[in-house]
Amino acid sequence: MSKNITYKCPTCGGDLAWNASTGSFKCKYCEDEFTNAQLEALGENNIEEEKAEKHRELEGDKSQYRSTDGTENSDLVAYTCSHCGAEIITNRTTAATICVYCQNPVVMSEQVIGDFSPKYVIPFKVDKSKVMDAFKSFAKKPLTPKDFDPNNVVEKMQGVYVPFWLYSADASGMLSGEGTTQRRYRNGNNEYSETSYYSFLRRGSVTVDQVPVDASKKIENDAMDSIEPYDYREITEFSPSYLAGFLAERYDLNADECYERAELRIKNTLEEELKRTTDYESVTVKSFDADVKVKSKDYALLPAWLLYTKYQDKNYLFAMNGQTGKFIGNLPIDKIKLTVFTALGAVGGFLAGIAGYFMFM
Amino acid sequence: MTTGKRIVLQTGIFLMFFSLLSIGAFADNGGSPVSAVLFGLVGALIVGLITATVLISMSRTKTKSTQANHYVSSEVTLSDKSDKFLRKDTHMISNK
Repeated sequence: MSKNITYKCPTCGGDLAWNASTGSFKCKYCEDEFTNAQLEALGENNIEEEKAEKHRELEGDKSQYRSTDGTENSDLVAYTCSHCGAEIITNRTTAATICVYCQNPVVMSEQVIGDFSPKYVIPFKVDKSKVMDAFKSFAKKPLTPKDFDPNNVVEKMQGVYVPFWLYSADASGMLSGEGTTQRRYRNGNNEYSETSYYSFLRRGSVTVDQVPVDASKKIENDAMDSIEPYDYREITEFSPSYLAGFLAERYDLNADECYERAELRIKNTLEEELKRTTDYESVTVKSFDADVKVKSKDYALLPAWLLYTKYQDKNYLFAMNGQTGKFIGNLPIDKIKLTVFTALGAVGGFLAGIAGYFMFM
Repeated sequence: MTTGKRIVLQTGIFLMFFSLLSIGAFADNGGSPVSAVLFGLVGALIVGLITATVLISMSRTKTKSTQANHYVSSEVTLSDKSDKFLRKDTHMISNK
């Protein structure tokens, strides 16, 4: 019989979910905890491809359906919860979710096997209870409107395993340009500034390991870029059990489609590294050529907390690195506060300018 | 009009108003009003813009990554390196 995956407690048969604060799987009922190795020893992590449940296409006018698990997408499909039998309507690329009816963690097995099987995962380390506290302290900025209350603006908070491609590559290239050095010296009563100009050329190479590029069309690239870096010392071989209790997306952009973004970053880094080998005080690049040879591109799921918020009818997305706790997002700006602070700065600058005039002129 | 443009416009109007007041005050005291106010205006513009930029950047932390510096696993290896002197410019900057 085909089925989605749920993880059962070896002690009582209750549902298991990943506990970010202890780094183990915890039973919702008897609170016993298990390591991934223990689950593997019990054969819990084996997925038989032929038994993986396939999604069902929704019938009729698809616009009449809404996702039951809060995922945002118009391309919806249906699964059956293997715990309570309810219909889970979710987007086509969801790899794990929580059944809205029985709150049971469900992993869509067809989304983590074959071509969609991730090589690596970094398990969640930041617990849900800490996300709101982090958001509250993040929102305390000088320009945040007074009525932007974190307790009221959050519409949805989701722990999501985001699909990433990790590119490892050797990059080599040639950089040429003009550099300057400056020195000041005194001759009698006169002080001089001397600028020396040089043309330079550097050929060299660097190796980069696991440059991440998010592989989901739905998740903002800038947000995922901003929560980097992840600490790869904690990356581990993928096991579907890590997804239990969280949402997970499978990639809908393949490694070739994401490569352009990785290549740009790798080339820019090579340029910076070559520039750093010069000792000039200023560098003007005349030409730069680079060649990137990809050694490996691995599919990984990395953890992020996403907060969907609404303030004055405008949507704001905030994201937190689910491993390191780094929080990012664009907060709304109180224009009156901005005007007042800018004006105060301008008055200070004006008075300093006048004082400077009378002191030095 | 975007928030940034509006703030720059508001700052400009504020500075004009403030500088007119200041020119009047210096003129009454027999100082050298125009130069002093020009210095003040430059200071106001610089500090005002820096203040606005710093405050806005504190609220906006979403940025596109254009670098992969965190993922460099080895020092850059140079296979060719050359530096050639071109010219020298000298300026006198003070004669005290």
